[in-house]
Amino acid sequence: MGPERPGQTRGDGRRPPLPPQSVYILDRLRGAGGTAVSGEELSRQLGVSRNVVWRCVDALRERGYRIASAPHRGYQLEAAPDTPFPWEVGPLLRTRHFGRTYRFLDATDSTNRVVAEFAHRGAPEGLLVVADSQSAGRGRMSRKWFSPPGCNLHFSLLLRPRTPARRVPQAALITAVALARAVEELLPEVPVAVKWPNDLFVAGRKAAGVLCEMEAEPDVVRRLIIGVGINVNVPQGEFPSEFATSATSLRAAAGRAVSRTAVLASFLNHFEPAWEEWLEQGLAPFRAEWRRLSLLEGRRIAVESGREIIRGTAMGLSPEGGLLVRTPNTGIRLVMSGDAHVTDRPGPQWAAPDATVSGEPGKGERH
Amino acid sequence: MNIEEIARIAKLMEQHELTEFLVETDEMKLNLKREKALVSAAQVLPVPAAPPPAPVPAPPAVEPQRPATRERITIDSPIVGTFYASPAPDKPPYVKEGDEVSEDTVVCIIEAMKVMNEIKAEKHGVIARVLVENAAPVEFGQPLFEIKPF
Repeated sequence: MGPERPGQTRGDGRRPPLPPQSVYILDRLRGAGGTAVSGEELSRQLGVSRNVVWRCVDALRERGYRIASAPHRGYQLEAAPDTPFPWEVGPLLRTRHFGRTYRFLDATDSTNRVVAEFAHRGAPEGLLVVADSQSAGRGRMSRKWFSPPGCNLHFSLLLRPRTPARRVPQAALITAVALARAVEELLPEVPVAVKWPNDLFVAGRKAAGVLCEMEAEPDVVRRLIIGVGINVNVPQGEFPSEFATSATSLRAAAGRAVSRTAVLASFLNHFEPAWEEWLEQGLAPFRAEWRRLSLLEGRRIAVESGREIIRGTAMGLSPEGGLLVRTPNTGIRLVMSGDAHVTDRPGPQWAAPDATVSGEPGKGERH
Repeated sequence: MNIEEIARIAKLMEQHELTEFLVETDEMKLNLKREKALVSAAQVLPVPAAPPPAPVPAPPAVEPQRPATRERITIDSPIVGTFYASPAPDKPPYVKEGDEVSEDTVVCIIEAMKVMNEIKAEKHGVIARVLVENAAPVEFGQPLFEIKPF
């Protein structure tokens, strides 16, 4: 299956597309508050046959909506899936562009790859591709990401920032801040942190990872794809052993199921204004918040950067967004890439050497 | 010796179809060479100016010599970051020396703050030299590859 036009709100091609009247019917059933709505009434309001109404209801059922039907009574919505369909996320969005072009896929190898294809064909800024499950979720340098279907969020957003390429790596930080804001809003009881440059930690373990890919010349950023994976509802016990002590999910941290739809909408609602603020004002408005959220701040850390390991104390962000590390011998070092981990206190998240972390884990990560 | 005198010598060389004129004194050395219609001055000391080129009836038979520092054509890093020659540690590099590349060929990744920047050749040519080692830090504008264009 190849993606068709962006902007379509349909499935992955294995199923027939959702008939346009289905969303109206879903709204009416929701509005009925658990009581039945007659098929005849729906067919009259929509100006379609009873048979079409039946087909629309069936298309919803195929997508996981539990809809009861009884002769002479009509249709009744019993349960809705927590699936980030566009018609579920759309009404929650307060954005102007982000997520306003929306493509939902049941499954894909990589949402970043799908967005890249759309971008190549001129898709607009703000295009969002969401997959219910992702088979080849990639982390940095093609590291694997554990994600069983149906419980996590995998999505990629297309941006075309009008800013020099050299600034764009800061997008990683802004993404992490927006993720933290979204989780703080939805789960105020859960401790949230960011780890430079773009990991989200909840309750001391990694819960989300970001993979940004850009295509740019020095003066023109042709595209920036922000790929995000969030462990939303994976039960803690289901992480494979190599992730067991380093990764977590929002559900495991909060002790209750968390709506993927709500997390996605909240992230986009936080991200768009943050992104615009960053484009206009740079990192300055974010640095204090970063310090507050940063897992590394003031800690003894080791950063694997290229083939070098830099040890010292994390001193916050440089104006460019790099990690400042005060080293015993060489003064303050500016680190622009690498994997950092805390060395001064072996907490639970550091207990497993060489453990890989959901999000963008793998070789070289030592959380 | 002044510029008028040099011009007069050049004129005389043309009239008499001389190909070389050398004069040496304690203060100076003037060596004028002429190939067919081309007149050029070399090693004029201490006279700094070259003779004004005589009107040329025919194009020079010999290509003017290229400057010693030939301009290198390079693919440069658009950001500060880390250079990755291959998509993953266990994968072969995107390109190696001698590979033909076109505008859209991905030649490497520059990573900064986990933002991956796929660098394309942007030119049609052959990779003449890889200038950076895998996993090495690179600066903004630093040449990554030398490319021999087609």
